[in-house]
Amino acid sequence: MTEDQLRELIKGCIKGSRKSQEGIYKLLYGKMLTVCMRYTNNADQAQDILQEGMLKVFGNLTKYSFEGSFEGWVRRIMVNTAIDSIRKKKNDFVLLGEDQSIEDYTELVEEEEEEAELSFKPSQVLEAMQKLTPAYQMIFNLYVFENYTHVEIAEKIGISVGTSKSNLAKAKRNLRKILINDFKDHNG
Amino acid sequence: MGKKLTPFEESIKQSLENHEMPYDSARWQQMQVQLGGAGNSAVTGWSAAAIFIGVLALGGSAWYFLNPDSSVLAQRAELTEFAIQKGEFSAIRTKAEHFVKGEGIVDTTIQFEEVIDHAVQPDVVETSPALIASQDNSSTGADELSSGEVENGAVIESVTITSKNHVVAEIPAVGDKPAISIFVDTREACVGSSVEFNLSTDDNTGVYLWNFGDGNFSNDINPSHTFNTPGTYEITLSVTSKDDGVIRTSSIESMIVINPEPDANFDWTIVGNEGEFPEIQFNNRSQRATKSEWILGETASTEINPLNVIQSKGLHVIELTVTNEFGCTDRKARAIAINEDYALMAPQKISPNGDGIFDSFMPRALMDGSMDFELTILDGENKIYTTTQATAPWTGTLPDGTMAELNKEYMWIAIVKDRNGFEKYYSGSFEITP
Repeated sequence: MTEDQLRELIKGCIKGSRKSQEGIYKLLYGKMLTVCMRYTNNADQAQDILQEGMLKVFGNLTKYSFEGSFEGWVRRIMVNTAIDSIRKKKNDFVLLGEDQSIEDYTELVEEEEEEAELSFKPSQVLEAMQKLTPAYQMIFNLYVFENYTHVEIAEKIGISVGTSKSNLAKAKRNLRKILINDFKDHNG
Repeated sequence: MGKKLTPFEESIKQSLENHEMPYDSARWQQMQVQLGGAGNSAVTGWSAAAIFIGVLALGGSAWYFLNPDSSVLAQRAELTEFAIQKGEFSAIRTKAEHFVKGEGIVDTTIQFEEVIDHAVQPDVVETSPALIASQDNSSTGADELSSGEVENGAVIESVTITSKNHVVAEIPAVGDKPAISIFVDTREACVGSSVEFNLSTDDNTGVYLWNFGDGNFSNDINPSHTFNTPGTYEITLSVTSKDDGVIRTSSIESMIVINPEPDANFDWTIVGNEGEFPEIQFNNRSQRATKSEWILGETASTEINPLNVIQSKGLHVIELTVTNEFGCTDRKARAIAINEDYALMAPQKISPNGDGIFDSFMPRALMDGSMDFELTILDGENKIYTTTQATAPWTGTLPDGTMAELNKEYMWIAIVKDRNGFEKYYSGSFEITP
């Protein structure tokens, strides 16, 4: 799709055209569902967040300034929707404190580098991501996929920088464990 | 951003960066319902849904007369589910009600209650003694003071306490600065509901810093804050005087208790065999709930797993509100689309010519005699036949002993007692054929 076509679709949506809305929905569906899957434990939750996020996208299209990537703009809405929904609903959103883990952290980093060449299929990575706890999932997502720094994560979800770091380390360790246990053999 | 990912992080990121989940057009159908009337094309969300239902309905009902045995199941309601977004709920519900009423069958209207997502616990600690944080500070130095010991004190008598607000602590008087009382509108609330904090002053010559104990802060004099995680929160208020820099701090342990909310969820299965009522068994899948309230299309129930017949065509909103031991609630709404009216599987034509085939009229669902009913055949406004016996169908004989006219349409009405003893009305028409 060219930039002009996209622009036409967005304008159509703003005017309320159902056909344009469908076009935008189709365009974004696959990628955004992947984003939502990363923040949830199952496909149903991801679908719910996607729908909620898409409603926000349609409701806020007039605020999109046509500067910067449209996909990036939508993605930010999705990520924020996911974070809100997880913080609102999850009683089990418990972050580990920083006390016990700063020290493990350097060890973990070293241990990790050795297995860097592991490669897995996207569907396997998604499946493994969904097995992380909500807290680990969120820190890992924000740091790795959303490019947040630990300072920004700390600000965004109200934790300390140390907690963010140690949770990232533990998230990675768990993720690697899941990937290796569940899939390594199948991939040869 | 100047941040470098490790090879492991990079490989995970790359593997999903351009990954797309397969498109599912059913989700767009759902989205349209959620978007409601926002679209301006010829087919709006609602009418699209209706058309969708209509198409399903056409799938297998017209053959009933010609082939009654194979089409019985098709005659029964098929269900389609639409998830409903909170904001869209009222609109859909109104439409669903309208749809139902439009069929002319339902004559009762349920008074739907206002949708409340988070019920705040009513005042429960009305008479508990206020916690007074005492902070004796006579110095005028600018150093921040550590918060004082928290102790149980007497209710502050001099302050007017409204029925709603609790005085929970006090910032002590220092020099010419008067004491400040701290109020909250509740000390116990549900996850996601907002708590209001108020002071007995609106003096803005100080800088106020509230620490809500969950990582959030506010500089408002009278802030409100929403706690998103259950727990017991310590609230700290620091007041820094702008003129001399004196800081007064009060910290109250366990000032706010946030209770967890239940999680409402349900699904359904269709029960009942051929010839029986198309009953829908609703399965409560809620968690951490102690009480359930259902709105099932046009009826309501407080059973945990209600069984219900939805007989009329249209979109019926099913709403489950669950409450836990703390009085916190959660709600889930879904809609069931019924493809066609359930009219007791009555034939649409009879041919009372004595050939043994379709010679008489009796709705199929009443034939086995398991339900109490009264069936009336009408010619316009005139009753021409009434029976309560499954074994006494109308044979096409009029009250004067003559036979019913060919190609004429007759109405029927059946009043049927359901399993709970409630009367339900069904009606339809049929034609006399040679």
